[in-house]
Amino acid sequence: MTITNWWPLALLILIPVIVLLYMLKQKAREYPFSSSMLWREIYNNIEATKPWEKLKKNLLMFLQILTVLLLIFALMAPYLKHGGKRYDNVVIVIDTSASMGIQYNENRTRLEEAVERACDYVDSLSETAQITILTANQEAGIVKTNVTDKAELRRVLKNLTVTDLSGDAGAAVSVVQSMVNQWEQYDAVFFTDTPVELGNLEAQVINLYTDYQNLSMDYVSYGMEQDASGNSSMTVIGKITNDTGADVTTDVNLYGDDTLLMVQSVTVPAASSQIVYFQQVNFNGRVLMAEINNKDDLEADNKAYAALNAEGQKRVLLVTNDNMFLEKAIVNIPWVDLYKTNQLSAVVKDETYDLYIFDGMVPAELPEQGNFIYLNPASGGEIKVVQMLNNVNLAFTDTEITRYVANFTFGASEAKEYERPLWADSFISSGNGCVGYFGENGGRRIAVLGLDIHHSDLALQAEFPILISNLMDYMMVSGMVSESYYETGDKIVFNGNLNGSDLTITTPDGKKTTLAAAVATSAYTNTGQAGVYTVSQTVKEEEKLEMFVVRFPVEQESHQNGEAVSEGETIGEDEKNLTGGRDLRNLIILLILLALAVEWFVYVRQH
Amino acid sequence: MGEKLFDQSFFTKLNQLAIAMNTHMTHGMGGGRKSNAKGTSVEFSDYREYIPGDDIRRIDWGAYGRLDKLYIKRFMEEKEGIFQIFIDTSNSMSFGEPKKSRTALQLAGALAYLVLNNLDRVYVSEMQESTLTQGKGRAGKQAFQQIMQELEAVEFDGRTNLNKAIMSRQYQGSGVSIVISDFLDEKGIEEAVKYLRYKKQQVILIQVLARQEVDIEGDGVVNLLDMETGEEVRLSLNRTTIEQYNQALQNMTERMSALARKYEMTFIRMIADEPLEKFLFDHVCNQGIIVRK
Repeated sequence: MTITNWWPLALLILIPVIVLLYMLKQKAREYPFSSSMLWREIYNNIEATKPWEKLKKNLLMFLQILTVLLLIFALMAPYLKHGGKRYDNVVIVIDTSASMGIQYNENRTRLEEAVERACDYVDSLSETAQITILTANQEAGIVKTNVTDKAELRRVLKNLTVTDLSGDAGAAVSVVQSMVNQWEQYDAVFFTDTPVELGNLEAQVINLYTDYQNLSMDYVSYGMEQDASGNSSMTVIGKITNDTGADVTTDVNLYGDDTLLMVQSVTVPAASSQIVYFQQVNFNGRVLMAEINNKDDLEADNKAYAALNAEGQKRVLLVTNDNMFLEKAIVNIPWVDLYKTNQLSAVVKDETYDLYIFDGMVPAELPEQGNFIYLNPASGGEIKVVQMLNNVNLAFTDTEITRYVANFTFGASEAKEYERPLWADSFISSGNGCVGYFGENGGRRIAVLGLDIHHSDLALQAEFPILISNLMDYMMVSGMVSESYYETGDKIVFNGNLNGSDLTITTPDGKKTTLAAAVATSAYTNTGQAGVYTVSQTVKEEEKLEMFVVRFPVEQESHQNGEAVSEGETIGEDEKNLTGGRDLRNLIILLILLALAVEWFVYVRQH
Repeated sequence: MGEKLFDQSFFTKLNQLAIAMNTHMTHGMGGGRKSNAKGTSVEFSDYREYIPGDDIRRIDWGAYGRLDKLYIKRFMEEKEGIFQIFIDTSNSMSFGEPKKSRTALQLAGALAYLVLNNLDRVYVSEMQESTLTQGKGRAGKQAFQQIMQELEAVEFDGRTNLNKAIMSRQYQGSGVSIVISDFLDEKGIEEAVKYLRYKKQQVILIQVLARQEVDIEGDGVVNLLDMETGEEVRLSLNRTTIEQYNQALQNMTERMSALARKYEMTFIRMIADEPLEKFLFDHVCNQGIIVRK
């Protein structure tokens, strides 16, 4: 046990004062009585009783002395140490990444459990312990530093909320490391649901991972179709992943601008994903939302959004002899107006397109504007074929272009391996070789795909239209938002019109942020919330409004698979006795109240 | 004392009462009480054969006619009852509001009146220290005024040793002894009672206590001053000590009651603020000491 304050010992002077007061109070008054006979009899009775009963005469005084002693003891703030340790500096890191929103048990989410345990831990610390609270998701955030007020700390902890961001407590390790370097002794506690690489940091990790049952709506996307009579309708696809150990059948609701459009029942096999299709959807609004009907342990990933930006129909010139696969894949993209030619001479200066797709042929002179996709080009210009490949397995690498289809493999009877320029990233590889790359060079975006689609089974796979859609997104930077989809925590660079007004960005919960158009090219980082954002700007008295979707990080946060617990960690229910010791003050105050109650009782009985 | 102890209406009521005696008188002048002696009253007692020297006026000639023997008719001798009233005049009797002394004197006066009213003889004695100041034996209603004057002149002071005071005198013949005291004497009264019973006295103990002695009030530490001895007892007045005092008082009552049963006496307690009339007509009548005529 340690004592925090010694000065209250000076108050011991009160004890002689109490005794003195009692002695003064004892001055008796004269009380004439007929005879002292009976009184002497009881006096003798008192004398004859057990020794401790003599105390009863001055019991009140002893109780008051006891109360004062307890009061002094309470003011000294005694603190009972556990294991001989007492921490004056404590850092608590709470993981607020999206997965902390998963139910820990029936009543609480992992975050609520973490907060509860953190509060208990704070309560068990000494009065003088300086406590720092950090949150961690993609980045570490400092909530409070060096605070001793436990009530305030409890309030701050209770106010913590789960974000939609990916990440874990590991983001805070370096921050904690730099903090604790200045202290001789400290305690650092991480409350998280994923393993934390502590490195050299000495800390406790409370891992709150528990098995959970979850269905996630990974994404939703759409394509436009026209029937024979020229009426256009929409096909919406969504991907549902089942993280449970059993097949799950659920209804998926498709909303358009908050109106229910369709309901589809889908059965998702255990531990796998399923694509759900909504055919012939008639919708002219702005926002599509697909929602899983089933309740599960993580609510936040049950919705996925897609934004339909009305403006920005893009002109694409497809120069090809015949490529139905590609043509169909592009036509499905609603904001693309596709023009097709098999004549390189159609590529003329006075008619500009946003994107040129050269399928197997390259014009001698390239247009001055627009971006390019080269399909199966031969060497020429900056494109350099390294070797020809036959009967080869190709794989998508993990890039922006191959989002959702990364690591997909397919076979090709013929392909070309290129020398990847420095400005480009490879998105299709044949082991070590680069079969496709993309990048930005000289102010235009260029993608090269080194195979004829007809010579592979790529076009027959569901991943093909996704690849094309991603490619179109990348190639056609339109308006203010360069992409239609982001993930929470992404940094977004808006392409505002420099002659227009400030950009106004509205988050899904309605909060507005204004960015000056001149600085709008700096990153907008407030994308912690999944949902549909809008960005607007007034240019020449005309308001331009675009929407973009920030998606919930399902890959990182929804599909946890009970990662191994690192050494030194505790997991789930095993850890219940995290404590820094026991502050005895409350206990002593309780005793003081008890002593006062006894004193009152004795006083009432005696009088 | 200076003040009148009684008013006229009280005497009117007293006239309806008489003190009962359960012993036959052996001494004393003729009076209204039965005695063991044969005498000249109208109450027939017995026959016995004539022996020479008997008053021939007492021969029952009717019996002689039937039995042919001379018989003499005998009659009861009626004697006066002898009452001793002992008043404790120690200083402790001056305690209370109203004072116990005043109640004791009123009680003595009332009892004396009953005695005189019943053609009996009363001795009113004051007990002081170890001595007894015995008043003259008085009989006849005219003596009441003298008794009243004596009672009004009684001074309450000093201590009293009840045993020694009572035993300091000889008592002739049977009679009734009434002791009026608070009995707050550590030596008790048993020796005196034993003595009185030996002297063929019917004993009535009347304990007079002040209301302030029965219902203790006050709190805090007090120096309790004994009015008789001047002795001080320092104690803390609180609920516990008051409870203990009440228990001691209760014990004392039980001791006195046990003594009364042992010696076939009567023990009655009177609280000083209790109306005398109510005490006599209720408590004392209920005990059978006083009977209605």
